[in-house]
Amino acid sequence: MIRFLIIRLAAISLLLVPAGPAGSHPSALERIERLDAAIRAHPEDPANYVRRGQVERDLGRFERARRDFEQAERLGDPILVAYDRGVLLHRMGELAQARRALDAFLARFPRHPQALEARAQVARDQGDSATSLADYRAYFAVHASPHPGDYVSAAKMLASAPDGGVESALTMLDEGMVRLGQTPQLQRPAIELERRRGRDDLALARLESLATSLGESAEWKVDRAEALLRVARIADASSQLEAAKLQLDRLAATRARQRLRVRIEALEREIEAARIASSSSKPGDVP
Amino acid sequence: MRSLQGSGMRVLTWMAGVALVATAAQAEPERILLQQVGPTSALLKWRGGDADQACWARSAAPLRKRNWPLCAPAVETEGGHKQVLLDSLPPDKEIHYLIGEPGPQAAVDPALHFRTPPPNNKPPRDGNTHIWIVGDSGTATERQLNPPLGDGVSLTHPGEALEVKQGFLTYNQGKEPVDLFLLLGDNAYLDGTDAQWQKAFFEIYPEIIQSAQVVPTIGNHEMGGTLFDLGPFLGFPPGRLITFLGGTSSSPDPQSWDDGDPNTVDDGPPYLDIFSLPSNGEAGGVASGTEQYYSLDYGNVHVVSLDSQLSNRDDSQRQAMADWLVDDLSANDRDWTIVIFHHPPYSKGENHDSDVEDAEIDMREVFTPIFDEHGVDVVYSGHSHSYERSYYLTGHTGLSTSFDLATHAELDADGNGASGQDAETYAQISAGSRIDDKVVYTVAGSSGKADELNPCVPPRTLGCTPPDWLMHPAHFVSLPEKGSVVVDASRKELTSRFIDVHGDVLDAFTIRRGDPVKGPRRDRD
Repeated sequence: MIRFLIIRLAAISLLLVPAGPAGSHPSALERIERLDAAIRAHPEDPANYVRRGQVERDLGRFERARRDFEQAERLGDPILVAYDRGVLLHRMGELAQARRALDAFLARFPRHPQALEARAQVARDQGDSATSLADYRAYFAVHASPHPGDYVSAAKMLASAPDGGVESALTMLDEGMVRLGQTPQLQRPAIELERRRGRDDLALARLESLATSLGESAEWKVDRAEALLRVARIADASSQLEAAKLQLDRLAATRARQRLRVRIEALEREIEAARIASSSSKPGDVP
Repeated sequence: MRSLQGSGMRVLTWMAGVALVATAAQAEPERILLQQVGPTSALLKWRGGDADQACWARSAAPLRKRNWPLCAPAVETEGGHKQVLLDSLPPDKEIHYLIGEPGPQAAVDPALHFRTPPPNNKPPRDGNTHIWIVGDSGTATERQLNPPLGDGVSLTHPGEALEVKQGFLTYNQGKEPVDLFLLLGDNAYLDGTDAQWQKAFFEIYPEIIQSAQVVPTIGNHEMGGTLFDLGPFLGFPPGRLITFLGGTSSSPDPQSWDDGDPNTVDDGPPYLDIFSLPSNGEAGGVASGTEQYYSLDYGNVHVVSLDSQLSNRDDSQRQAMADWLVDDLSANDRDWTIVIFHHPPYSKGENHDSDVEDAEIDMREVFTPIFDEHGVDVVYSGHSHSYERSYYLTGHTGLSTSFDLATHAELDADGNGASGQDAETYAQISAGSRIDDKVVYTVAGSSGKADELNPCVPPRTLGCTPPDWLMHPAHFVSLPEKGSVVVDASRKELTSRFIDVHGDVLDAFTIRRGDPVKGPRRDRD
């Protein structure tokens, strides 16, 4: 009878699979309730403490998470808990302890992607950009299919380092483009970083490298006009805007294109102002 | 990852009875796939058989010449596939191909051909881009139970994907061939293993995919499964029904793919090995840097395939995908823009409620404003196993309770939601706003099975229909019917039709290009 019931329950579960419960995941508190029950049933199993600690950590209940991880360490191999404890300690702001935990974990599992990423973040917050960059590189080296967003995220973290990590961030984005190809998701943040460090000339060069990828769209032309204006190539900027307007006239009106026209008008006013300033400072010089 | 390479003389009986290329001495490919079909090039991909080259010609006859020169050697790709880039093709022409050596003995199959698109924003020479769309079609490999339940409840759906295909073929008789074959995800149940793709996809649609480019998107069942506790959803105590379930992964990492088989080494989803998707803008869209999402042009149509399953689960990846989408749509100058992804932003399907599921909410909140802003015309999703089709929408990112017809939909003369049919045909440039800012959203996840009314009895919440099943207020029509969608995109209008298993049209809408006040837009080319 029990066997029949199990078969029947399993059958019910299979019935539900096609319907797909993927999005119907239980809430964090429901998961904790289930893990509470699992721990009551098997109090000697460290895995359930780790799982509950992860949920508690994600809920921001750090002390509860710490207690669960410590209990798991007592019941099993502490190194196996070190990654989760390192992530927790990082979130608690205990950087030195977090670094020690992740160092210990990576000494056993040197190619663990998530641990490499976590230590890169800790090192970034410690102001250790060299270690952070090295760990991110190692992370991407072991990652079979890195996502553009991963590179952007890593670059943002590097750029926000206390010691100023713009160079490291640009290196990361360029390495991403070597691996994934010339994509706007990576080049646009790089353009912003170039501007941030005052290299408008390099920002322009990066934008121009997207010409083929973006099909010289009207938006790209307006972006380029803006970049040309920053490096005082006023006539080139003006002709880019004219080309963008011609292109827009051939396309259906969308809200995005309406906004682009407003940008064009603003840039035209800037260009006019720059021309006036230029002609008044250098009489007879036609830009 | 499973590989069928080296399976030697395996000969499959293709269900539609379509002959494959083969000579007496050559084993047949077990699968053939066309990818990245552009005006002057195409990727021809296959697996199995002895051939290590492919040839092409404008008709079948030249392929029987011994020294026919238009041939290229295959390169090996992941998953044991072989791939040939057919290049220097003429635009807007029918191309015949042969997998193997040309010559008098070559078994040239006249059915092996496809159509290249024109080189710019124009429909093919017959005036129409013809698109077939299936969602959640992979039911041929749903698990059989042993022993069966014996209570009259069918847990599998044998033959239902074929019924849907037959419905399409019945509808399509005498009409033009398919140019694009769009997959809305969950095309190989339950885990998206290579073997499941073989049986649920390659052996179901051989005559379609050997002559039309396949454009897929990732569904939850492409990403294997995880251990999942079903008990609380069925009214049982936690921990009683923890089981490995396909389709339950919520990881953003493709390497997390797990088929639940301890005897196989999992190395990412077979989906990414089977398809060769244009991540570098090879097919006309903007380079995405990942095969998880991408875009392409085909004649007068721009197709964007977003990743609601993986990239959508991580904040930075989702944002990168959204940033890419803005650049891609900004660079798009085609007449029509079609977006596909698996998780529907508006749905009241069985177990899949867009007010509840994170993936659906994120797609609605982050991406539908981009669609509105950048002139997307139609969006197709699956996930819910029914047909749901919206009004002509704009600006709705909230829960279904916040939907207001007058605010979010195009209205007819009586103040009702316009149907998109007959006198209420939608205009690409909306009569109200005078810009291209409205989108029709369609859920078409019933190409392998359709959920049926089965009211939930508390405490059960899964595998049954809640009281508001198929009652999303953003939808003009909701049908618990199996079927597929056909889109026809001409210079002047785009028509989308839902076709049932008998070949009957159960719903249709049309969007017309041009400004309804000013008159037709001038052509761009």
